[in-house]
Parts: sequence; C-alpha cells; structure tokens
Amino acid sequence: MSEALIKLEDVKKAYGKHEVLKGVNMQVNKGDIYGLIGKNGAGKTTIFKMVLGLSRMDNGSVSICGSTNDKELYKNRNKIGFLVGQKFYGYLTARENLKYYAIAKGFHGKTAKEEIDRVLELVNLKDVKQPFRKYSLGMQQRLGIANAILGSPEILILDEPTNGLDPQGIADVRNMIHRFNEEFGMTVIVSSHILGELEHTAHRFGIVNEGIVVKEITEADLKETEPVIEIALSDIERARQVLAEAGIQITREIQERTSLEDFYFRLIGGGNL
Amino acid sequence: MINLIRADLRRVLRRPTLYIFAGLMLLFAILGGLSSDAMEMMNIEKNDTAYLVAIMASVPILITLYGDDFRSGSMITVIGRGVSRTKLLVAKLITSSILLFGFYVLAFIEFYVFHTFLLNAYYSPKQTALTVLMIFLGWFRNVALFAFASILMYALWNVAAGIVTILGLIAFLRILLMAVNKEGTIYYLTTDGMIDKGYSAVMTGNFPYQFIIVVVYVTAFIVIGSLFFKRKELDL
Repeated sequence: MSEALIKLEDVKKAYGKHEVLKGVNMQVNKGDIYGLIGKNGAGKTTIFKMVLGLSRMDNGSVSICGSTNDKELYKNRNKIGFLVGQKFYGYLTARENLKYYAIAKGFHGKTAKEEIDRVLELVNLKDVKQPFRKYSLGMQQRLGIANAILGSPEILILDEPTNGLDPQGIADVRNMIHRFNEEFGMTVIVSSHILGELEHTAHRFGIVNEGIVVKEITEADLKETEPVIEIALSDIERARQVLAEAGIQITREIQERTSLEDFYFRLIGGGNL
Repeated sequence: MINLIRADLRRVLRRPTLYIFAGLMLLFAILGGLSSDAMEMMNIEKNDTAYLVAIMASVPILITLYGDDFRSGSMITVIGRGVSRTKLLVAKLITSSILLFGFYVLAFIEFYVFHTFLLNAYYSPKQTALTVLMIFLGWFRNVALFAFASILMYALWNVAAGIVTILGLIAFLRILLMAVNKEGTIYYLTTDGMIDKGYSAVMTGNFPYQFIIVVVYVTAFIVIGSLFFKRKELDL
C-alpha cells in the first residue's frame, strides 16, 4: 500500500456564511505528482492553506507524513517547499532573497552559498543580478520554484506554477517538475487551470468542485474511460452511414484515451475553467 | 529562532532607510547640541535626546522589519515552512530590540563624544553612569512600546497601525494621561510610568521592582499579540 505523505479528512472551512471547503478528503502518496484541478473559487488554494497551516480549519484533520498533532505538524511542514504567489523582497536580488530564506531555514556560510547556487542553477537564474522588482513574470515564477526546492524538501506544493508563462516557460516548468520527482524523489502537488498541461505533468489527479474533492483518479483511469474514436473525416455519422450503405467496411480506426479536460467537464459540467 | 533573527538582521541592514534615519537622528542631535547651552545639554534628565532617538529609530525599524514583511508576504513562507507564529512574533521583537539598541548606542556615542571632545565638557563617572542608565531606560521604554504596538500590527496586519501607535504613545501618552489624571495614578500604571518610577527608585537607592512589572507587561503583550496572530487568516 502506498505511503500517504499528505492526507486530508473531512476538512471544512467557512468564511462567515460562505462555505469554502465542505468536507475535503484527499490523499497524496509518496512519489506522486498530484494534479489538483478546479475552477477559480473551487477551494484549491484554501486546501493548500490548510496543509501549510496558514488558515484554521473548522472541522476535520490534516496529516503530514503521518502526523496530525500540532507540534509534529510544525516539524513536518519543514519537509514542504511551496510556491504560492511571489513572496520576495523587491529590493533584494534573487541570491539575496534566497539567502534570507536559507538562513531562516538553518543554512549557514558555505553550505548556504552552495545550496543557493544549486537551486539558482536548476531554474537558470544563477547569473541574474538585478533586484526582484525588475523581474519578468517568468523570472518571478522561476525564483519562486527555486525557493520552493531550497533544502530539497520531501514534498513540493506548486500553486499555478505556469501562470502567465509563455509556451517555452510552461515546458520548462513541466520538465523541472518531472526532474524534481524522478531525480530528487520529491512528491509534488501542482494546481493548474491548464488541464492539457496538467495532464502531461501529473500521475494522479484530484478534481475539486464547490469545496469538495469530487473524484481522485489516476492516468490509468483516464485510459479506461469510454474511448474516443477519431476518424479523419468531417462528418463521422454521415460518413459511417454512407460507408455502410455502400457496403464499405471501416478497416482502421485510431482510438485515443479520454483527455483529462473531457473527463473533467463530463464530471463537473460546463466548458470553461 | 536565532536563524530567523540572523536572517532578518542581515536583510534589514541592507536597507538604506535605517542609515538615512540614523544619519538624520545624529544631525538633529548635533544641531540641537550646538544651539543649546553645554551644561544644559549634559543634563541628560532634561535632555530631549531620548524622544528624538525613540522617534527616529522606531519609524525605520517598523518600516523595514515589519512593513516589508507584510508587503512581500515573506512571513507566510516562513510560517508555511513550519515556524510557529509565536516564535516568529518573538523573533521579530528580539530583532527590533537589537536594532533599537543599535540606535540608542549610537545616540550615546554621539552624546558622549560630542560633549566631551567638541564642547570640551567633563563627564564625571556619576554623570556617565546616569547617561548610560537613561539611554538604557529609553531603550527599555521603546521595546515595551514595540511589544504593545505589535498587538495592533498583527491584529490589523498593517504596519501603519504600529507606527501611529508608537509615535502617538511617545509624543502624547504622558501629556494626555497627566492632563486627565493630575495625580498620575493612571500614568504610573503604564509601562512608561513604571519605568519612570523604577528610575526614581534607582536614584533613591531602592530596588526598582517596577522594571520587573514592565517585563511582565511585555510578556502579556506578546501573549495577546500571539493570540491575535494565531487567529489571523493568511492570504496567499
């Protein structure tokens, strides 16, 4: 059985009368790249806030590396690196910003310098000298990722890491996530609006809608759902009819698995995130 | 906690704001000294230097240590990585106390060097000890105000609330409370009043137990601030 690194059980949260989470159950296992999917306001970020201890839950429990008590949760959160927005000082450079977090995390002297060099190299920001306030959105996201992987955390949480990135930037982030998972053994939770992108990144998916994780699925589940038959013709039904009437058999069909996007909209309804 | 303090000190000392305010503080102190009678200036009890230092130190420390954190959201990253909010609050207060101490030491050096070498004044050992005591009490008073102001800053998540509170308390607390209560019974219940009483106790050769009460006040402010901070919903 897979080892659960993060587990939420019946987690509820309301702001006044507005219920944001209505009993979330989800489990992220060691080694997963877990994609969290949901439209704006579905509750994805609130789930992250619960895991990171930034918000108090009204009900339920959060477990990190098997612990649910407050003292151990604090300790185990040290095993999490996360990217949630850009939490940097505008007047400091990438290196200086990371130095602040590295020292706060307990790195000193040469070790701190080596660790900062390592993560800056991974995100290709090693030679950037200007202060953070002058960074493009892509550079800000890359620095956010560098900060998240500082100290090689066991678990990596990335909230919308491809937001505002160009196609090359998106591909870079995807490659980084795979590298962190495969090479460094990090368990990754990533949220995104871009379902097609997430489909190519994650192994497991949690679909959040109106404050509940309505379904958790794997890549294999997507393959097992109703196949889509693609025929290279403009009008499939008419084409089949015509072919049948003419006594012509279809000898080749290309079967594709259901896309994550199709699966999601079939489950939730609607057509746009 | 030491790591947090080190990280914050290193970061804040890179901000020019601190040095600009420190420079202005020295400039105002020297200009004030040049325009006053030397003997009057040497009387630390009648000197306004402590007020000047309190104002010129509090503003840049609040802006750089707390304001930058509220604005950048760096506290959120630190908390999300498993640092408790109480620990963070205490670490910030210790860091601000260290920075305040720096300002007060600078003021002492200016006060002493300026009068001894530039005005050719002679400080007896007793006068030197009194000056050191007054500088220390100014710092102690300021730390207590920071602890009180941190309650409002964490409750409102706003550094302006802290700046207004501290400046208001430095400038008006004594005047206002003495105006409404001439006997000073209310004023002497405040941290400022306690420190004044403690100073009188020292000068009359009594044990200044009031300083212990101020430490209890500061601890209570930390506990209350921590309760507000723990209830605070942090937005990503």
